[in-house]
Amino acid sequence: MKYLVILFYCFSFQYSFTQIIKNSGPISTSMAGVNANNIDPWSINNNIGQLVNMEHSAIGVNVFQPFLMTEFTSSNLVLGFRKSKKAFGFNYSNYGNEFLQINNAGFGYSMKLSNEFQSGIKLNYYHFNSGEYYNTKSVVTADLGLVAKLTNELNLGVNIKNPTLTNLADFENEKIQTEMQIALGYHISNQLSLHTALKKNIIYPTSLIAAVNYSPNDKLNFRGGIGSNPNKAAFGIGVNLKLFEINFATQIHQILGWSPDFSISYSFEK
Amino acid sequence: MKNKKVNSLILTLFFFNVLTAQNINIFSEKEMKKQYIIEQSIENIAENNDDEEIDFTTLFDQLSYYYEHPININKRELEYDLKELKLLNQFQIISIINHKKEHGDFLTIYELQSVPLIDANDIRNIQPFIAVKSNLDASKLSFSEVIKRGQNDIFFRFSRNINTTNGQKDVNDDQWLNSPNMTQIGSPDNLYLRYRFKYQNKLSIGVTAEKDAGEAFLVNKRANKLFNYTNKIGFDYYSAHFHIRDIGKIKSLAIGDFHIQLGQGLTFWSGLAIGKSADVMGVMRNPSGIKPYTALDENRFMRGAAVMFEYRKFNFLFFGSNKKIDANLIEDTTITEGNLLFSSLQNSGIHSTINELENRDAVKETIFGHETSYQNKFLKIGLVSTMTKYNGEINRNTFLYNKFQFNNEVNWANGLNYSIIKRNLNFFGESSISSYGGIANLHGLLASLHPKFAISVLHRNFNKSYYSNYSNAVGESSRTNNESGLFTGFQLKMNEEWEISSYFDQFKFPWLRYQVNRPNTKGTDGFFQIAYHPTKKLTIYGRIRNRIKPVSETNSAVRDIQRTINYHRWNYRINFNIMITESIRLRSRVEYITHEEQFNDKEDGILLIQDFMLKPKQSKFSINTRFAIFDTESYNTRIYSFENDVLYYFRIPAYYYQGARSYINIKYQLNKSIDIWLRGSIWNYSNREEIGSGYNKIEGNQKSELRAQVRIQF
Repeated sequence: MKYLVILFYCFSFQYSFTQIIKNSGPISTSMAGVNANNIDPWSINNNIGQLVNMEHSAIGVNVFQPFLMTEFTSSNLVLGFRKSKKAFGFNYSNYGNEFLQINNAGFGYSMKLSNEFQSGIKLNYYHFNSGEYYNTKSVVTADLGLVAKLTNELNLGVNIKNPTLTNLADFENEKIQTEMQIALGYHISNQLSLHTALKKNIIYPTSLIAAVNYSPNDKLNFRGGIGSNPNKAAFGIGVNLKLFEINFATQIHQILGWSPDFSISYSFEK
Repeated sequence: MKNKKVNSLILTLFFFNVLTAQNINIFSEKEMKKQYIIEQSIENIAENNDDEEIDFTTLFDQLSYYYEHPININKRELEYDLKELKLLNQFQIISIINHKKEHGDFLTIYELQSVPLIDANDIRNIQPFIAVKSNLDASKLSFSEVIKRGQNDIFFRFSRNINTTNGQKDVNDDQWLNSPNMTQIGSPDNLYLRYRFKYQNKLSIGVTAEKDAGEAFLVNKRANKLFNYTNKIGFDYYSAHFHIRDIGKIKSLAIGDFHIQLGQGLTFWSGLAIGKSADVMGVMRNPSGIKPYTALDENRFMRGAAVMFEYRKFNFLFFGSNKKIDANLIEDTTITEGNLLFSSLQNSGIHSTINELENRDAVKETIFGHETSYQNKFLKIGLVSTMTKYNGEINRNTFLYNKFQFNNEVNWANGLNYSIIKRNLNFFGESSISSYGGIANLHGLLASLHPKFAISVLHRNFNKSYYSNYSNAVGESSRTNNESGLFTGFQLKMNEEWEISSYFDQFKFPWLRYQVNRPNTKGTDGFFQIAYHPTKKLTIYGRIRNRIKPVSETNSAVRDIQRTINYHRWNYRINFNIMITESIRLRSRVEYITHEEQFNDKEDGILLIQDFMLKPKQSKFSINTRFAIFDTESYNTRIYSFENDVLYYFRIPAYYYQGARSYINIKYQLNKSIDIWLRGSIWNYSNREEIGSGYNKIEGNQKSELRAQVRIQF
């Protein structure tokens, strides 16, 4: 198993290691990674500018298991606290196995500058423990998020992760990955919205993603998406139960298979 | 460490900016429109010229001036200013003037909507640059009027690369002597000083001085000792001008440095001009005649005097210029043969190494010329004659592609230009002949077939032996020779929301060209843009551009003869300009490019840009920032993008290789008279160990620049 995991690491670098370990919540998972326009407590990770657009303060947890491999399972706690035109958020995620452990705690602030524009900043604290290579290492990075309402139907979301290109280590110029996503959401009706995004990680090929979100009623949400680099398909379902919301999603990688994501969140008021 | 500090500074300031934005609520869309117009024009020029160091000040100095001093559309002599603005075509300008004659002064800008051929989009385009005031034109140019209403501007600008370049490294005497072109004699500071007095467009007096990075401001004693060369003290480049218009029969008079721009640019046009761009009706030039020179191109301008007289419907323009320019001297020719020989003229204006200094002001260039023109309501026709003389002989290298290039001391270029407007048709063109029989022709038509639809057609045929050193006509290559082609374009304003512009240019090069080792090569340049303005706060445009151009095969080591192949380059762009509130503006852009050469792998590249601009009216601060991420396989797939900078500074960098780019500009208005700009920018590459080449090479993967500018107005 040990060698299988090492082999997997080597292989997974070709398919964006950082994308595999990223835990952006099941709504993002179900939409193949379009997330700069999503509004949920996971906005703390996906686009901090969106956090202020949550209807109510909420807390959530999720578990993401890339390619059904226990060794890569990550769990995430998110909290979004909204007050008028401002919102604060917190997240803690844990990923790891005996070869590499990554803990991430983040704090973000989001504000509504106008009805048409929201922005935010998040600071991340990463703690890496990979005994053989780095021993332990801690770094602080920042994420930026912007949201713009272009028309009544059209939204633009932009998320920039690690714009300062903070280094993990000077050796071999190893960086915490810098990534930018520009997403457009077209809301055809209250029930149906279409989304597309371009996601560029600084060292990996650009991903083009398209997704759809359909809500036949207040209780149910169906979502699906496809994306390139790596090629993947995704779908998910969400159920609203008064103050609770449960989401299940999975991505299907062309070669590596299924990656399920499950979450439950609680809204402090309705 | 310094770069990290700059990074942190940029980030901190960005969020200081965002966090304070909520207190601000008044801003106009003027700045947004100004930038949109500049980027629409400027990026195509950069793509066509493949030169990041082009100074676009000549082109956009006037636009920036009108932005700060809007044209009063009730003024008596409106035509000159509207032509200089270059945002309306000839039909529209005439339409505005006629409307004013028939209905009197405008009461508001929106009255322009009642002018035929002017629609809401046109008004939005020109709105930042025009104003409606009661007529304040002075009846005569009086000294007291000039002193009362004239404006003095003093600019001081400082720029510096934070990283140490190869040219700035400490070397010992032997190293410097062995590689004199690798070490710069001056500091890495770039200094710029400009004074200008301007009274409307009637009078302009100015002095400009500049020291480029690496040039010496003081005597470099060590270089003096090693190379027995004494550099001069002070700025490397000085320019001064005096320009006055409309004094009696003298329509225009310039003394000092100036530009001459005549006809369609075939016979004589010093300075840059907009050619093929999203504004497809812009292929017809509106010549300025005599124009004061305020830019920083150290070689391509006129130095002397120029005057234009008016007699009834005739204009007589005379000019003379005598100045030294940079040239690649062929060594020892003055000693062995008594003649000064040079292989080429240089335009970089950089004199930072011993070799560059040796080529500085190496050749004297003398130019005389005149234009006699006749103009009435429908017709303008001009006869141009120019003579250029060097005090040496151009002796270009013996490559075959140079066979028909000018190789002599004296060149004549004579031309006839015309513009005929009849109803909704505007015919224009120019024919020119130079020494040794080189002939060039350019003829075109703008037709406004409907208020919503207009076409442009332009045919050119530049003989391979045609030569005018100051020629700048619409074409594919920067030289106006060895090319024929047909440009066709259209502009369709479907409604107030949708606008399409497109052109297709097909061209042929009869003779060999630099890096094209075959005659009779051809190519095409196709462009399509669709713009959507659903509200006055949002403009979205998408564009596709395809270029097919001949080039010699690069990886042909196994063959003696390089094959000539075509490269195919596609650019795809989608751009959002969003005015969020009166204070906040965003711009998002995605551009994708592919480059394919026969026998080589296809390359591609992508650029994602996010700009944020804040310009509160009630605050003394205004800020704009950018974060961009780019990934291109090579220089072939470079992508140009306009960057906001300090006032009157225009450069278009090329984004290539893999990395991120960020900058922040801050403007602070200290008081009514003093403005301060600060700019920090950084390139951060993820797949480079070194940046640049030669003396500009930087060891490492980061390149940062700081710039500060102060303007004093009184």
